[in-house]
Amino acid sequence: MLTYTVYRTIDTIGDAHMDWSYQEKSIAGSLAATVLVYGNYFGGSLRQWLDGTPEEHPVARLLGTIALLVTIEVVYQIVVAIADRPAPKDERDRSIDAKANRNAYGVLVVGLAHLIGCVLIAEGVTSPSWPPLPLTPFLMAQAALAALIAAEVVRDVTQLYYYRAGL
Amino acid sequence: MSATGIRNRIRELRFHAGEMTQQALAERIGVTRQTIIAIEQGKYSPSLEAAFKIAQAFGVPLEQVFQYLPGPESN
Repeated sequence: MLTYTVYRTIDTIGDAHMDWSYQEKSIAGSLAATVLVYGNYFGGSLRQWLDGTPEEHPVARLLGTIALLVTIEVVYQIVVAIADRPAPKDERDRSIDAKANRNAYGVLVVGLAHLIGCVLIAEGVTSPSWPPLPLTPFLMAQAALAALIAAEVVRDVTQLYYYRAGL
Repeated sequence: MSATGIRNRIRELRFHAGEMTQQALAERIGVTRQTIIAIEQGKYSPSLEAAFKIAQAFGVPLEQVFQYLPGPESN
């Protein structure tokens, strides 16, 4: 009985500081990269919009941002795969994925519905007397991208929450 | 009390199975070690198939591994 109590106490201490699984490391890195890279991109766009200065090469900056994120993701995932043997997803991983995808889908729908609403207002469909929105095609693309990024962030945060707090 | 209303004796059964490691049990069931930890802590209720596999790994009936303690909302 004493031996069992000792083993259980050691386990309890160890499990409280449960090391991160391959899936969690992969998600956390992806989340950090997404927030930092797109945070920098949208922060820069917002600053220029507030200053009233048009971007010189907006499409090139967007494509450069996407290329940077893909590069960081690929390098990080390779490093994680080398450091921590990739484990196939089990039933708990799949359950967490399902909940995270549900939340992300909700955010994506709200974001895209908001964008569609803005387009309708910009086109004067809802009320011609409303002030026109300066909605350029590139701004629409940025808004759609922002909705995708928000959905991705919500998915990653949901996954990390359920991995830590339990399902 | 677990978060799911399902209690289990996996830690005790591992001890009686020669201090079977969580990793060894995880490999027998086909899940990750983190999933075994989550089940032991009551943070995750396994599927019926995984529950039977756990019971089989210890050579005991299912009800000796898992017990359901219904909460007040289920009454």
